[in-house]
Amino acid sequence: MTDDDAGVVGGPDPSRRVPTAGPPAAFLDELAAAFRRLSPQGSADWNFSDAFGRLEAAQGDLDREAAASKPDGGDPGASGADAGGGPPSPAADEAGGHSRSRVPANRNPRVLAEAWLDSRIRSGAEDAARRVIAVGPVHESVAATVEAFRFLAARVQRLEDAAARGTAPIDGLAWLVDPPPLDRWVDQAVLWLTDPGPGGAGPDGDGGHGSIVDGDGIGPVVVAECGTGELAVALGGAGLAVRAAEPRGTVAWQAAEAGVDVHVGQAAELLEAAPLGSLGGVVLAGVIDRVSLDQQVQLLALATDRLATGAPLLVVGTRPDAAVYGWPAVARDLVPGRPLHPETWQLLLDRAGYTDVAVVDNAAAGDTYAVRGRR
Amino acid sequence: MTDPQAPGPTPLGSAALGSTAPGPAGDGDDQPTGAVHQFVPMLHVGDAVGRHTLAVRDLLRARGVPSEVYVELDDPETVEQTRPASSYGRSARPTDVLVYQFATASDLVDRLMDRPERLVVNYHNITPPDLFAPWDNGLARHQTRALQELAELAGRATLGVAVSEVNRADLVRVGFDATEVVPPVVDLPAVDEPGARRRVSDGVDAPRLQGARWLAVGRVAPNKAIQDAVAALLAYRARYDPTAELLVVGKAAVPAYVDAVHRYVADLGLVGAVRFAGKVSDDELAEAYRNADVLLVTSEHEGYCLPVVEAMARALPVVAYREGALPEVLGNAGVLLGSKDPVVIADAVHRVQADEPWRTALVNAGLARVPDLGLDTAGDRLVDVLLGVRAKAD
Repeated sequence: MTDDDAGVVGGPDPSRRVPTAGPPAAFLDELAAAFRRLSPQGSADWNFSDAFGRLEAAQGDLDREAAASKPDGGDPGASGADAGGGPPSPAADEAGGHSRSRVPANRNPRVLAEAWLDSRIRSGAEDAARRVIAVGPVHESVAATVEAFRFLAARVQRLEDAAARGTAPIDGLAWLVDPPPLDRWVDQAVLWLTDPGPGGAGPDGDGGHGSIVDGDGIGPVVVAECGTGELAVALGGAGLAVRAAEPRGTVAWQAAEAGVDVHVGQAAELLEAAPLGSLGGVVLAGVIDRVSLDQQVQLLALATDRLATGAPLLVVGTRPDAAVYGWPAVARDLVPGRPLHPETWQLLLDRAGYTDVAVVDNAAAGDTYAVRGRR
Repeated sequence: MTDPQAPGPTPLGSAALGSTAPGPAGDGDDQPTGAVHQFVPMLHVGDAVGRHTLAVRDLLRARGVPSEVYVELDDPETVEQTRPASSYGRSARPTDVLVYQFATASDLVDRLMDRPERLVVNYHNITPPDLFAPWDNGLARHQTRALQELAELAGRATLGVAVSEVNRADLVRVGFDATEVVPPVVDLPAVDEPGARRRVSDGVDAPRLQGARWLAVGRVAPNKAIQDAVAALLAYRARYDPTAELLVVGKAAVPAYVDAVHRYVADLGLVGAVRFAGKVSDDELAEAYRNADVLLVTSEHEGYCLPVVEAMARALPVVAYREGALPEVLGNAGVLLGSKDPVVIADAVHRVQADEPWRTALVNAGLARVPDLGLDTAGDRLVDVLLGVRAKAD
């Protein structure tokens, strides 16, 4: 066996090594994060058990403080009889004649506090009363808080279980609908997303959105969803910073290997993570063909909120007739939404305040279309 | 496997284990020395702790030592082989030795703490609460309680017996003064038994370079980190073999986690490539080992990991993440990884599949490793240890 933290492979013959390469490490982190998001609590970094642990650690500190205040400074319960109130320790009886309270001394703050107070009174320490007034209620409040958390945790657990059963989406829904072939739209997308706009207008009126993308504090162009990454790669090749979302893990893997900075998850997650007014451009594709009308409108609202003023939006959709007839029976049954017509997207973009809204010409578009707009 | 059970059964009430005073008459009353009785929250015939418990009982009886299994709650499958813990007081003798099979929190602990007889804790491991916290707070709390109970038992028990050095470290950490390490008592397939192992020497069962079959064995629970095996399969299919499959054998133990793994599989486009067999019979498990090309262990925590031993005994190569007792059990007989990077795992499995001399070396090392683990003598060793404690009690 041989191994190291870098993940080198070992076995009976340590001289054999396996070279490793693959997608960027950031993508592998994304892959792991995609699983963590499925946790009911979303994160292991904060949870009820963590809260319990902190509270109980605090309680332990108080226990130790109380124990240290006893005349012999001993372990709570280890010499309880001498301390005047604590139960005898199991260790005190080595001959096998164990006797023990059902409530361990070190678990019961009241016993500790009383024992400590007792010892203080007997030792004549003048500050005993003052200290127990300070420590005793804290013990009690910590214990009460722990119990309250336990109750709350149980309630939350039940609610989470119920919510998981009631609202869990159909697993892998994205796989039921093929993403539009974005490679057909590379030229038009690059042209539009790098277009500085009428008069070169930008957020400060002194430059197009191309300069926004490259400029101060303006975020990347988001491609959601990116499929295997052809469009995202092309946009990157045109000098744009690109961040992409793709919920289909295998497809996302291919995009990552092609060099795309891809979020393995839903488009909405990526848009929500961006600061308001920060994005240099957004491409909506794929996801808009299969989610419900409400979710389509929400995605547009999200994109609108996150786009910088003057930044471009491109919606690439599938023509409804082609989509519905082309979908397999299962997709037609299970997919909650249907693609919108290009005219509908024009209307939605107009209503959302976009300018320069138009259907984009493309002789190679096939069953797909694109609608553009400027925030 | 020594994973925690589900949260413990309900308390028995104040009369549990009966009076602390030995009863006037009992099963062992006509014996010159005390009995060695085991206590376990529930006795499940299908899990490692249950089998271990029954095997130890049988070995004790074979040596003429009275031995019963006392439980807090009955399992219908084993009720004929157990007695209620509340009934023990009626047959108790001062020279008895009580063995607590510790794998999870239980109200038995407080009851045993009140007994005067010598107590041995046979420790099978506690999965860290943090691993359960994002998925099941109740279970996380249960594990926290188990840790507290282990610490309490440290001051009460005459001896702590761990199934691995990793587990012994747990015992020492919480204050056990006297400890021993004895592996779990299990029945392993005889390697010469027909059909017990994959045939590798004659090349009949050469590894599949396409359609490779990965195997993961263990409860579907957060500590097993099945999602890492799934991600590794994704990498493997992308890099080497788009038809590779993963079979996960084991009980669905933590519902929220199980749901998440299923959704993850679907999101990654691996529906059909990852199959969940659930809890299976011994024969079905043996079949799974025979049909697999590699056993993959991605656990975040293992107190022993019997599937690794089972795989080695069946000439199945093992690729495992270096965690818990895995280095101790696997030794040099398998591939230990210091990383869970899916690409690293995929490359390791590919190497095992594609490099025949390497694979053969792993298989042979595994077959040689199994006897070294001493599992065949573990039962007798444990009984010796227990009888040594009894001798001091007489």
